[in-house]
Amino acid sequence: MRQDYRIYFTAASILLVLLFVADLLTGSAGIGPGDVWLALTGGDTEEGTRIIVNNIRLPKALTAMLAGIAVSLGGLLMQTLFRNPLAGPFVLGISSGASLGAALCVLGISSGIISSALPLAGTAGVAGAAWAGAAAVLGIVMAASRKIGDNTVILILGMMLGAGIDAVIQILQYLSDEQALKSYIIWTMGALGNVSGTRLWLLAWAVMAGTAATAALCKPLNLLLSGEDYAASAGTDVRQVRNIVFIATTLMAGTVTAFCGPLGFIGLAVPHLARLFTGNSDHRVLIPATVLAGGSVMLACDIAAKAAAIPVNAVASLTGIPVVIWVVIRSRRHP
Amino acid sequence: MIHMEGLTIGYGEKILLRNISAEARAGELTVLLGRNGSGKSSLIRTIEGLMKPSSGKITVAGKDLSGLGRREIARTVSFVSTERVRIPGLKCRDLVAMGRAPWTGWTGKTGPEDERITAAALRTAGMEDFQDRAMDKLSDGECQKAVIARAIAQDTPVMLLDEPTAFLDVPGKVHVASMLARLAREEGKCIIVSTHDIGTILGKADKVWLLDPPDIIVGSISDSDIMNEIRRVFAMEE
Repeated sequence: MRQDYRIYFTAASILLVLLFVADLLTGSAGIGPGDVWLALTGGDTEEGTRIIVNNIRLPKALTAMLAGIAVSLGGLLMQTLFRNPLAGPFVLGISSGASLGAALCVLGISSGIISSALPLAGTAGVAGAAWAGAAAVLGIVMAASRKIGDNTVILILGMMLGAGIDAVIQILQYLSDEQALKSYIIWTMGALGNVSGTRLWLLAWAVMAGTAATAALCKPLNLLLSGEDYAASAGTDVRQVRNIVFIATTLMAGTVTAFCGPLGFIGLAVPHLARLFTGNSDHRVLIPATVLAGGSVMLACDIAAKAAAIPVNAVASLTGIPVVIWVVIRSRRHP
Repeated sequence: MIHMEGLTIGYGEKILLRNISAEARAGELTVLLGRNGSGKSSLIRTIEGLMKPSSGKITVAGKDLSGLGRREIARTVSFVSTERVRIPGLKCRDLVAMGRAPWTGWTGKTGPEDERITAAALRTAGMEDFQDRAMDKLSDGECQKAVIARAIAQDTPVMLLDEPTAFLDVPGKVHVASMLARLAREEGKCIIVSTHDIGTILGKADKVWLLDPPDIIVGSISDSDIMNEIRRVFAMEE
C-alpha cells in the first residue's frame, strides 16, 4: 500500500472510533462519559445505567457500524460487478426482496398465520426469509444482466422489481391487522435498537463472512473493472466470482434488511465517498476504505437520529441522496 | 502454436463458420481478414476460450483448449478486444500492470520483475509518456494502445488482437503493425490480429486467414492466390 493512503486510513480509523464513542454517549437518558465507561468496564455504577449502556447503547452502536459496513460493501460489489456507478442493494431491489421476505415473516407471525405452523420462526426465520427474498431478486437481476448487456436496462429492471415488490408489501400491509402492521412499520423505519443477543451475533457473523469474501476477491474485482472478457483473459474465473459476490451480497444486505429495515441509499453512496477520499478505484484500497466509511456514516446517522429523535432510516436516506445526485451530475459532465 | 481442426462456430441455429481448419505458428504474424459480420471477433473469442465452439477442437501450445483453466489460458494467450476500457481514476500504468495478473498472487501485488515487464510493455506500445494519466482522460487511440500494452505485459507466447488499430491515426496504425511484426519475429510470439486496415498490416504479416463464411481460406502472404481471394471477398475488382 502506498504512503498517501496511510493518512486516509489513520484519519478514517480515528473517526470511526470517535463516532462509536459518541454514539455510546448519545441517548435520551443523560449519562455522563464517566458512567458510560464504568458501565462498560463493569465498574461501580447504577444498575439502570449499566442496563442502558450494555444492553441498549452498545448493541445499537455495534449494529449501526456493522449495518453500515454491510450495505456499503454490498454497494461496492454491485457497482463493480455491474460496472454501474448507480448500483447498490437498495437501487437494484435487493433490499426490497429482503423486505418482502421479512414482511411475510413479521406480518405472518404477528397475525398468527404462521406462528402456529412454525414455532421456531423468529430470528432465524426473519433472517432466512430475508436472505431468500434478497437472493431471489439478485438472482433475477444477475441472470438478466447476462442476457442484456445494457447497464441502464439492468438498473431500471432492478428499480421496477423493487417497486413491484414494495407494492406487494403494501397489499400485505393492507390485509394485515393493526398489531402486525405496527410492528412492520416500526421495522421499516430502521430499528437498529432491535438487534441484540442472537441477532447481533448473527449480524456480526454475516458481516464478517461477507467482508472476508469481499477482501478475498480484491484481485478479480480489480480485473472486472475492465469488463468480464478482459477479466477472464487475465485468468479470472468470472462465474465463480459472480457466485461469491452473489452469496456475500445476499448474506450482508439480506441480514441487515431483516434486522434493521431497508437502509436507503447508504450502500450506493459510501463507495463513492471512499473513491472520492482515496482518489482510487483499486479494491485493495477501496474495500478497507469502504468498510471504514460505511461504519462511520451509519454511526453518524444513528447519532443524528437519536439527537433529533427521528427514525434512522430517514436520516440514512437523507444522507445518501445528495451523494447519489452528485454522482449522477458528475457522470453527466464527464460522459 | 494454435491448431484448429474441424471447428464450427455460431450462435444457436446460426452457423458462422463450418468445419474450418487452420494453423498459426510461433514467430509469425497472422492477419485475420473478413467482411463485417463474417465471424472475426467470434473466432478470436473462441480461440481465447470465451466462447465455446459448436464442434471441433482447438489446440494451444500443444494442449487441448477445452481442458485448460482460465489461469492456464491466461498464461498462454493474451487478448485485446474492441471493448473500450475507461476506468475513472485508474492510471494507465496500473491498467498495464493488470496484465501481470496471471503471474501474481491472490491480492495481485506486483513485484520488481512485474514492474520491469510493465515498464517495458509501456515503452514498446509507445505509452511511456502517458503512464500516469487516468484511463478516462486518454483519447480513444491512447486508450487502445494502453490495452495493447496490457496484453504485452501479460507476456504470453500467443497474442490475439481484435481490431487493435481501429481508433488509431495512420502513424499509430503503422506503429502498431510494425510492433506486432517485431514481437512475432524477435520474440517468437504467435500473433493473430483481425483488422479492416488491410493496407497497413498486410505488408507486415506472414500469413493470412481470410474468412469467406462459412469457410476459411489460409495462405502465405507471398502467395498470389491469397491476394486474388482477398480481392474477391472484398469485391475490389480492378
